[in-house]
Amino acid sequence: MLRKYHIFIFLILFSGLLRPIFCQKYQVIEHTELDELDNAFIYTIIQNFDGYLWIGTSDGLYRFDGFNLNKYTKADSLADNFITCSYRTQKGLWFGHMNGSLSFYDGEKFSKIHAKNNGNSIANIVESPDGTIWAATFTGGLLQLGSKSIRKTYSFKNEDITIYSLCFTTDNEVLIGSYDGIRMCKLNHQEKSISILNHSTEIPKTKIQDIKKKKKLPGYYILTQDSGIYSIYLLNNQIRSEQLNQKINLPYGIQAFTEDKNSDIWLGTFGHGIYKISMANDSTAKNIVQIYSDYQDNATSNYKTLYQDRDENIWLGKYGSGLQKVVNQTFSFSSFKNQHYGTSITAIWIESDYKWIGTDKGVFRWSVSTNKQLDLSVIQQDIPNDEVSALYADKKYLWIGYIQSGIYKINRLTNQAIKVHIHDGLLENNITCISGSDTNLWIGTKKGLCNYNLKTDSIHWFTINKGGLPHNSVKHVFIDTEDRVWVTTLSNTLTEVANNSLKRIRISSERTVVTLESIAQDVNGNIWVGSAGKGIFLVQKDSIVNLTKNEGLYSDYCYALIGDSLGFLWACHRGGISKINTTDFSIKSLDQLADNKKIKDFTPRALFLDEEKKLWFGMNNGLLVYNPKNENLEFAPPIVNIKSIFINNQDYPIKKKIKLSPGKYKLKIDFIGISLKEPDKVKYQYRLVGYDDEWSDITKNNSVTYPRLTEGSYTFELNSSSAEGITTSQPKKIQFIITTPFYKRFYNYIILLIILTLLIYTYIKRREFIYKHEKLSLEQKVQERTLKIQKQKKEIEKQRDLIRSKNNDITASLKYARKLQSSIAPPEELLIKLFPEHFLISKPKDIVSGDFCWYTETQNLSIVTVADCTGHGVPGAIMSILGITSLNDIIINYGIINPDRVLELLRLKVITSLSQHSKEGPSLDGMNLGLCVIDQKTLNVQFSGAINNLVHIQDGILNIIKADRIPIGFSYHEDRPYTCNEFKGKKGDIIYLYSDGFQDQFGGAEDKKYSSRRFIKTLHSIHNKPLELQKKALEDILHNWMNDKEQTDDITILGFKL
Amino acid sequence: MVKYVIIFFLSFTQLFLKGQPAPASDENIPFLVTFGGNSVTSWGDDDFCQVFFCIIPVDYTKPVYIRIFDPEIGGKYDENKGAFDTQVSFSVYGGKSCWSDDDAKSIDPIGNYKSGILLAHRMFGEDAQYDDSWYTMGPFNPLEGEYVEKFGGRILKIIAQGVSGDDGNLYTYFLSTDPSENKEIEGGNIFTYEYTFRLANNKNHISQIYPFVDDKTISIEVSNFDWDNDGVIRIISVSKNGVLCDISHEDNWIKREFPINEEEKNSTIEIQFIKNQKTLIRNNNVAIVVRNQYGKSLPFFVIPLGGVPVYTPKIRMENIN
Repeated sequence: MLRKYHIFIFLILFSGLLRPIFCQKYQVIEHTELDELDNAFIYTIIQNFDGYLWIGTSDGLYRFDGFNLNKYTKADSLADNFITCSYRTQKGLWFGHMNGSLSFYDGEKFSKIHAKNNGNSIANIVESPDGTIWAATFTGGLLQLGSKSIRKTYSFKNEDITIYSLCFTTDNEVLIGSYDGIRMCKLNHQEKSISILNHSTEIPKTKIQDIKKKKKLPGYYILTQDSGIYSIYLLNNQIRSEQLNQKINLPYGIQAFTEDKNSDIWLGTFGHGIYKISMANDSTAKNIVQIYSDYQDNATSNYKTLYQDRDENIWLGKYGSGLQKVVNQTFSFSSFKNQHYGTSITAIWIESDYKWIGTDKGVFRWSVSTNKQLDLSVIQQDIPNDEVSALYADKKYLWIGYIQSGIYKINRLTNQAIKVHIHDGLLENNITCISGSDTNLWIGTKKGLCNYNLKTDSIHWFTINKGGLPHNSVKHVFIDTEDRVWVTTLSNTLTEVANNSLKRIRISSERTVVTLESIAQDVNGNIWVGSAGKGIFLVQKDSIVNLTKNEGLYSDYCYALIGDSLGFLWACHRGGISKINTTDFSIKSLDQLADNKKIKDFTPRALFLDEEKKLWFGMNNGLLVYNPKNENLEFAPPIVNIKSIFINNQDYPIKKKIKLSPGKYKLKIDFIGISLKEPDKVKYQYRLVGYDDEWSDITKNNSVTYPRLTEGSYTFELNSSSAEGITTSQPKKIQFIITTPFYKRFYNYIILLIILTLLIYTYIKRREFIYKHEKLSLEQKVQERTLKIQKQKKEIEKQRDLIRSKNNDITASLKYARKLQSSIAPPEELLIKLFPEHFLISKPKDIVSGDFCWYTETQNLSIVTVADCTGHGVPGAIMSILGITSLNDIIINYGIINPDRVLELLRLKVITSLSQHSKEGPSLDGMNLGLCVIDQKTLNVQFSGAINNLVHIQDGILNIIKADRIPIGFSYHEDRPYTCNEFKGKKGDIIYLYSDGFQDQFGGAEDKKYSSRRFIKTLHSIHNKPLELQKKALEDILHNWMNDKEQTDDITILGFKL
Repeated sequence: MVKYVIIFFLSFTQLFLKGQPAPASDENIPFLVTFGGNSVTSWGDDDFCQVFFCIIPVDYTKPVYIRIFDPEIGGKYDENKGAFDTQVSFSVYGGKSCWSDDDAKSIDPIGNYKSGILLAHRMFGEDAQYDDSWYTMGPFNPLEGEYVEKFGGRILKIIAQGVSGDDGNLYTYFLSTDPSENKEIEGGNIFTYEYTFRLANNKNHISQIYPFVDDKTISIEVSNFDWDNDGVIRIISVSKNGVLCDISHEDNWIKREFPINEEEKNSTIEIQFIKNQKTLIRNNNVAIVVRNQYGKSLPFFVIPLGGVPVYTPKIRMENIN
């Protein structure tokens, strides 16, 4: 009774232990970014070749790129907002509508196809083996679709059949599912009719929800509304079937199904959630599990459609409550907490029929066949409640190592537990690990390594003293695929046991204490050793590779190590796990599972690789199972798409080649790499060939802006990589050509050169023409001018001749006038008489002179004057004649000898003669003169001057007798009597009378007047010379001063000695 | 005009009435009845087919369910003729023409009366699982129904059809928002053009149904089938206070025409079925149709549009002199 009671308690305690752990785990994700679909009725889901997921609902079509949802409606040229079905072809996507129309999306835009089927809803779209696309209407037969059009309509011959589903078996034969079962039908292309070959009796006459061709095996799956799923094949147009749910219990209300890449079948139901049928290789159902159901609300647990995308996600289209995604969980965790067995899983041994679990308080087992816990209560009293440190099973016994209680073995047939005595010592019964082969059991203890011979039951110990074990505390014993026995101890030395001798391999050369822990072998046969504090070591023949936290390990403390069948090595740490690719040593660490549960601590060495290649990890709070079958190793790279192109902030249609007119452009490109598995982990690398020299850094940014692009050819290349690091094989490319401006094109340079050449040529030619024209014109003008000049020359010559003649006449008359002037003047002999020593320089500017020298002798007085008449030439000569005649009258005829009086009278005469009292404006003609009256006896000299001074040099002293500044003639300024200057001369004094011609002569280096002062100095400088030489000197000075310049005025100088 | 009146009444009734059972509790009709296809009409079903239309308001876009109480044929309520051997199918139709097709509105199951798209179909025979319990059809997307502007909503059609056997299937409907319990759709309604139902086995029970008379109706013709002299059938409206109809006998139709006054137009009239007070006639099944002057059937709404009619007497004043 008590025993039964114990059994009852045990069953109570044991029931429910780890139940979820033995099921494949999936996680159903509600995408928050899909809120817009929350209340949507989803009828179809399909992924196009660009990677976008298209979701057809009763209120529009949605496109999902992993982040954003775009809605398309009739406003976007969709034929109707109610989408009933879809189909993908290489050319695009077909969508069927409730109103009987179809839409085709070619990657850029939608095209409407309206069928003349009286609004008969499109039930399905399929493709026949020859590639023809067919649309089934509910009651209007089949529509053969062409490129964006309906080619033909096929109707049933004799009856109206409602079509819910169809699948072509050949080009002309099609399985059609209706509400009353399935029919094998044949198309008559001439009559455009559908004839029924066979109405299957093997499939119940219930609604056929869907028909799908098997992906890998021949045959078809038929989904019925009420009678489950059938696997069928065709034999002579007869349908042979097998019901899948003979072994499994299918849920009610199945609405949709899909076959995944592993040939397993997913079911969507109304009201009962999602199920998955695991299929055997022979197309029979192995088992069925419910993946998900919203138990809280049946109304939201309606699944209308299912779809597996290229990343092997299963998408669930719900009926009235949106979209979900099923993620395959490679890890499944089951928490463990039991009053009887504690909380930690410390040892695991998995067999095909039993799963043995060691805990911190004992051991229990689980039946694989019944998926239930088994009663071990009969032996619970025979085995200790100690912590189990190791489990090992051979054909007959399960060996249990306890942390304190030594070794026990349980006979698996009789469930009899036997204590195995290996030593009397305490530490020798502290078991740390057990490993074994057919003949030997290797038991690690805290006091050495025990070799237990299974055939002879003999025991052999290896310790520090026996065999030379590096340390007595054994951490792990591992037998590799070559039956080599590897041992780690509390040391840095790995030990290999061979032929009862130990071979020591020092793993770490560091002198610090390093403890080696777990040993494992990868698929390539390499031995790996985990350590406490130094990471993991790969032991090779000639070297040791050390992987640490620096290389990406979650931690340097590795408590358990195991290799899986896929080439990965798994290292268990506190709070995390490291997955090491043994090929390239890349490491991926994780500290939480897909359901965001944090990983806690792993139990040392509590792990197991079972026959199904599943990894079992013991943890301090439960059991973790890794199923490599759920790992999608066929990683697909993201599909790269250009979302939008903005040129100068304007949205631009996306094309493979974009040609732009010349200019400067701001280019912005938005792109996306679609990976629906983990869209937020997609990374990008891009470059603009022609602008960027190198690829960009790897980034998660999905937009790039080039602020200033000028003419040239650019190619935007974009790569993306998935969360698994799989990169697109070929970059997405878009070419941008910004046309070179006309003026920058090469041929335009040539054209420009030609034009320039032509211009220059034209210019030159024009210039030449102009020159020629001008030349001709000039020549003509020259000719004309020449003629004119010649004419003028002739005229001039004529004039010249006339002038010459006149000149000759004038010259002759002047010469004659000079003769007359000379004849009027006193004779030269008188001058010599009066002044034996004298010189007279008379240099008229013209033939006749305006200057004159007049002298006479009267009353023993010598009267001499040098006058300078206004003007020169003829006027001067006339004036001089007036002067001479006037002087003759005054002095000779009237006998007036006072010089001042003479000048007065002379002035009066001139004014009178020249009528200078005229009121009309007197002329200023007249003369300047200096008159000197010399008493030859007394040498008393009287002088009066009109403008012209007298120079008297006596004893070398030059004295200038100033003349009055009153000309002989009219003057506006002064009108007073002339002054009579008188001085006493003496013999040898030299007196100079002169006109202003010498001093006013221009010349010299600076073309200036000779000046009065210089003239006086000249006279003073030469006064000592004989008078003849003085004349010569003055003439030379004048000649040199003039230097071939024209004579300015008449020059008259009279010098005489008293 | 008619459509605005109907929409107004539907909106009005939405404020007060939320239940969409068919028959409604106000009608005091225990069950609808449909006999097996091999049955005889003398048992009260003239065509072994019953067509109902469900109105889902246009602004209601969540899944709806049509729940059927006791859909199987056997067990507690159904009428057996020998051993239960009857199969009755329940089919729900939506899509364009599910209501607008003239055959759909016909009282006889001929022609294209199954117009529209078959959304759900279920055949019932004797099945203890659904005896005295509910079976839920759906969910249905309201957008799959046919939009009818004058009803201000979308229409789903449910046809109960006797396929084989001769037993009578007694059942009721409920238009629900929930698959597992009866939760009415706010503003929803159910109507039919031919009512075939079971009268209560209680002579004190008065059943009533509510045809709607539009403004184009100047007269109605009330037809009943297989009344079996089970009391009287009378009409109550704003201007008719218990006008008696002719009553049919075993296995025959009888009809009588009544004029419609101005004040009766665009209103609901009530047809009362008052059982024979002297003799209890058990398990009496009856079919009734109301047509207008053009022979078109008038719809019976389970929730009377504009409410139950109340007779308003006219007091005639005569000059004393």
